[in-house]
Amino acid sequence: MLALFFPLLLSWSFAAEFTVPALTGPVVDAAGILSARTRETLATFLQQHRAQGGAQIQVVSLPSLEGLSIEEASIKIADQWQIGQAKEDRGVILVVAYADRRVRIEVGKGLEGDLTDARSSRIVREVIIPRIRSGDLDRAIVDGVLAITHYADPNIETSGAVSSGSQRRSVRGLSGWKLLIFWVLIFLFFVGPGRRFGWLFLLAAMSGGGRHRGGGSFGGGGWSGGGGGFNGGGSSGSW
Amino acid sequence: MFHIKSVSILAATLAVLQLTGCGVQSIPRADNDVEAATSEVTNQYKRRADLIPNLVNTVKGYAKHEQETLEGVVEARAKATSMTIDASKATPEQVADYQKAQGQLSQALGRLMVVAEKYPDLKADVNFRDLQSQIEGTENRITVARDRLIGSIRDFNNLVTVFPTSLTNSVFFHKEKKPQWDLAAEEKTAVEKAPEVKF
Repeated sequence: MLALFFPLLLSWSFAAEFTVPALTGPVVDAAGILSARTRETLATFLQQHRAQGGAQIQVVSLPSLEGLSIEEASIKIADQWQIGQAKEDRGVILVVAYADRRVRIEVGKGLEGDLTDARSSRIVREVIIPRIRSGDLDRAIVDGVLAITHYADPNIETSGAVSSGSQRRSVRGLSGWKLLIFWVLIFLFFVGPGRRFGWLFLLAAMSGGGRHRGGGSFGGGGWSGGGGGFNGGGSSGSW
Repeated sequence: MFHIKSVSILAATLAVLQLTGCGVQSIPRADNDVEAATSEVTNQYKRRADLIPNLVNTVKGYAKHEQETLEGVVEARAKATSMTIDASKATPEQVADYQKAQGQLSQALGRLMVVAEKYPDLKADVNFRDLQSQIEGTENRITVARDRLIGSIRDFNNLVTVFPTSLTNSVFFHKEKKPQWDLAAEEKTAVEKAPEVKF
């Protein structure tokens, strides 16, 4: 009698069913693979981006696909979270199944014209996967998100908005003379005689920057799907 | 006695109306949902068919000796696009024929992609890569649309066969249970054999 049930019990214990994680914010790091700093700065950026009228961009990492393809898992997430607005459907989800070595950009109905399959594919192939391969996952996600905003919301300024956990390139997006002034100030405040005031400068720059960008809440605001619909558009990749 | 009889008749009528009230709105809605979901599936199949001539031309530029495979795709596409399906009146046989033609096109496309793997210049061609990603995207949209169609047919069939909405159906609508939209055998093997694109 037990022999009949044994295979059933085995399948229960070994094949966990895929469940969609809880939607706690713009960055759901269920797999715990991103640095804390990336999580926070990215979440802030995505909140602000949406507040400025941009697409609702969601990042999620999954501990395991539990036997599903990334497309199957991704559409389950999309159907449950409904990222994007009910009529405009301008939502997009960046799904990383790190242990399964798969990534997908799931594009909402309203963004299919701007973020075409071809463009999503390019972002996955040329931005995200090379950075994952070279070991910088935080950078891969941040740059992937920025590339998405480049196509989805070209009118919204995103320079200097996000820094990742990696020290090397912690200040992005400053160009030309702004960059020069930045380095001069760094030199003055951190290397030169004004050393003592270096940290004050950093503090001022951070809070000043925050006020500049619309003064909204810093990632503490609410976050939920707006009823956005998805049709399965987007692109996947693996490494 | 007169009163009791009329009251009980009234009560019985109200009970029946109450029960048959279930489904008066949901059954036609579910019917419409199936129609919309079917259109979505056929739209996505059409979208795939529209991408193919461009793909064939791009591949031809690099692999013109692969005539057999290229012609296979062109023929399969012609056959698939010649079949139209009326969402509201399709018989199970029509659905099966439609899916079979689409499945054969899936297989022909799969063969073309396998052949394309042999040509590094073709694989590096930006146009080809974009088309490949568009076709992959469309294949996924087809899968999603079909899953949703299957769900909407199931929901409709549940309403029509399960009490109390089944009662409403037999009293007011007389709608028949719809056949489920199954994958054709060709489509199943095409899905299983699809080469994984690794970067």
